[in-house]
Amino acid sequence: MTAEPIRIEHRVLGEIRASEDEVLEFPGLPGFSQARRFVVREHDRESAFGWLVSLDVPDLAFPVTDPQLFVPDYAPKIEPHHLRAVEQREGDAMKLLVIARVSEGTVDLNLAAPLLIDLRSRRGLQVILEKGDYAARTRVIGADARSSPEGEASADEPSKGEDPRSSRSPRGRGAKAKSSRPPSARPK
Amino acid sequence: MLVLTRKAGESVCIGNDIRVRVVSFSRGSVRLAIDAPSEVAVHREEVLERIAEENRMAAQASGEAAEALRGLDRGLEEDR
Repeated sequence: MTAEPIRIEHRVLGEIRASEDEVLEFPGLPGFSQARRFVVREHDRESAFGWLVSLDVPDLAFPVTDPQLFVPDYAPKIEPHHLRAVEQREGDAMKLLVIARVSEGTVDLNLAAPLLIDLRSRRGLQVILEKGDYAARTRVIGADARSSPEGEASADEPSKGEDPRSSRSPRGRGAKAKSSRPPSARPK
Repeated sequence: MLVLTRKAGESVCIGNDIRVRVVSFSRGSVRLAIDAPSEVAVHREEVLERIAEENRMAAQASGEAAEALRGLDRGLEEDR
């Protein structure tokens, strides 16, 4: 790649460098119509989370994750017009992410509006699911972590004030995490 | 803002390829039929607004999120 690398400074994430061929183009996101060019960055090498970082709007970044890590049977209905919007062709590698609301001890996923990305065309779209199968705020980590409509959610991260060492990888569990709260997260 | 009066069965055209037709109305509700190219997103405003609000909250909390994720990641590492 001979293109000049892109370089931005993000208030929270620090310096972000990217090359043109990493850029994802969205037609804006609801609430952020001017944010069209993004890059995805891992939060950390082994993290389940990453960041969708805007190259257009200063300091704008959304925490994102792979919904399947938390809700293994998550299967939003992607319509043909969604695929056309990201210029999907047969055989393209696709990626589905969701925006997360992360606070100390809790994580909520927006399962009602996943991010559909075509890795060949580098086009993305925040799909707004018309049928109400999934909630815009689904608690998957922390106290009150509830099962998704499909009955799957893991809830193994520490709740507020807990030692982070008691947390576990979201991959580790899942199947029987229905309403469970790990012993370490029980209120005293 | 343009305000128009339409009878049931009449339409409004927006640009060359969007047509909004009044199908019927009763008891305070209007039923609309919308013809638009598939790349034009059509949503109920409150649905779109709900997603916009979630997006704003997720973005606003990015500082707190970065902090919280560092905590989660430390936990993940020590699990290994």
